[in-house]
Amino acid sequence: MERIHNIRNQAVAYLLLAIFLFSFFFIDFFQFDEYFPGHIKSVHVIFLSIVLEAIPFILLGVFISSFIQIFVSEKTIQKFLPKNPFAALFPAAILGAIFPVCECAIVPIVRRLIKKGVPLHIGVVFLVGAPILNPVVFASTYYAFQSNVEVAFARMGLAFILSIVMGFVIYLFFENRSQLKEEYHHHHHHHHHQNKFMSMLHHASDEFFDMGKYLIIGAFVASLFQAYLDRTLLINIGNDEWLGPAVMMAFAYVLSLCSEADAFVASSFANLFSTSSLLAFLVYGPMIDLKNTIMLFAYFKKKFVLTFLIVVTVVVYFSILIYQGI
Amino acid sequence: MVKFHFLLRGIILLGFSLLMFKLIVTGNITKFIAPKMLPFIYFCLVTFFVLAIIQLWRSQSSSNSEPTCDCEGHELPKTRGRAIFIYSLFIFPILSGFVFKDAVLDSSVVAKRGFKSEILAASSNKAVEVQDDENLAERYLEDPEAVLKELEEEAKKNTSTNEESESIQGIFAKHDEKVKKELLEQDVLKVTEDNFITATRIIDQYSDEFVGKKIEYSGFVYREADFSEDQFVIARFGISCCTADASVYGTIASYENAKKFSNDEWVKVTGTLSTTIYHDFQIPLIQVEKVEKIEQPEDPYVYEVYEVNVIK
Repeated sequence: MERIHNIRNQAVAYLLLAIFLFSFFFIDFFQFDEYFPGHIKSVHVIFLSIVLEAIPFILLGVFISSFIQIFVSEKTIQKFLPKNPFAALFPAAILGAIFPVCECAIVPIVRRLIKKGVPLHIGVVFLVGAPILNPVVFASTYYAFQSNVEVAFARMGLAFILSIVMGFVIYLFFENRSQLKEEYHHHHHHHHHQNKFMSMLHHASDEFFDMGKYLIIGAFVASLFQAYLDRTLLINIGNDEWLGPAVMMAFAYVLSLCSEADAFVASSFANLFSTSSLLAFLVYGPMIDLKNTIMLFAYFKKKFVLTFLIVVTVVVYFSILIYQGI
Repeated sequence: MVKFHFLLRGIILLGFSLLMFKLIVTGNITKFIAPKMLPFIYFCLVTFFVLAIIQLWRSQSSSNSEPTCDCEGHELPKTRGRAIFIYSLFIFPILSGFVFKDAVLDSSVVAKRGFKSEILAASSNKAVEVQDDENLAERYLEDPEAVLKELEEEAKKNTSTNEESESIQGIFAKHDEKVKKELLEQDVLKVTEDNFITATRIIDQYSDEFVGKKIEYSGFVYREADFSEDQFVIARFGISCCTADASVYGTIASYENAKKFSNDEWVKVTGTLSTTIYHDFQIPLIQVEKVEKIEQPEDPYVYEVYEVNVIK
């Protein structure tokens, strides 16, 4: 019975391989795509484009996280971490600025750091700060908002301060209780003969499959919003000082853009929305969006992800209102 | 059973590498990703290929050791149904990528993003401003001194912020001035892939100075609901990283037989620039003399480039 089962499985796998190879060589002789209307193709273009753009960065994140797993010991981390939980917030934000990672790469890295003993709230500082606080994001924001350079500086400043605030609030909620999902413990007896590099590669592919499914679902939902949400509807709301930032945050959330590209999208709204609403978009999107929320659910407990979502939303919204008032 | 997962994963990773390889070889990759992001795709292609080989090898290895990596937390799908669902998620983009190999964004997307949405917004803002002005006038009648003081302070505030950013804006303005001069010096202003975004922006901004200028412009046809029968936009998508951040650039054209051209058809027009009023704003308009249907270009999108050298 077991053998028949195995043979069937193998047959499925090789059939799949055959389909891939067939598509690779011969699909161009068939015009399957002609049966689909233009808007469906557009959804697909956006979907695949988000997937293709995110995968390299997720891989980078996975490799950095594997590197940390294998080469950075818990002891090293403990040595550099200030004992006082609040004193650690500020250096964490600075470290976040030095780490040049974007939002897709940061999730596996933060999870690994937390596993290695970095407190949860410090992980949160990285999670929200690092994707904004980096030179590429600054340069693209600066370029996209040439006529209003305040935006680029305010974006960096707010991200720095808010990442500390959010780390602080998360500490109040969770202190040091682990919020990672319960783990499976594999038997550890066979690994001593595997070399580190091989195990890093095995790890990378396992982690890609862990994370990839969430990326694909997230990219698909985001592409639907991208293709069917009528942006001209936003015009009438744009001027409202309470509603404007909220709408732009919701917008940033569903679009799930890369933090290096979102400034260009924001600048296309430059005359529709106030500067503070644009800032809400630029600060909120990289900290949390649809794609990332789904990826966070892969690693963290539900309660933590929801609390995190609420904390980030509330903190960003009210600081934008304060910024507006100044 | 575990080995079956490795086999399947190896094949899926191989599928992704095949898809990326094909997109790169056919050049269709730039229909999804901006050229500046290509190095990351190369990295990804090589990595996936290596990982695929390792997974396949892992699935065939005869050793009895459970060949997982030594970190906890990776789980294999627990039930059959779950496994089918999860692997289908990965297989779907690979197959759809092969089938829709050269699909591009079309005018349905422009309709949702809006052509010159900033103008629509500005004209609705204007209504608000007019109201503000009326309020001001009323208040002036009641208390002229206070209102004057208020206005003065506002003016002061405006000048002080201007000074701060003047140096940077000055550099950008100088650059624009230079490009404008270059464009005006051409006998026929040719808007090509390379200068599409900049040229369109400059023509928009200085529409008066370009009146009477001969222009050659190509893109796909698109119409807003409120256009008259002889009008259409000649548009292109501008991409900075991937198509998720696409925005629409283009110029309105006016042509007697505009009806002959349907949305999404690619055209090259030759004509003369003039201006028109759209939602209370003056924007450039191409009076078309000649239209030619053209094939969709290899690279249907235009790409945003950071002109960093401008800052230096």
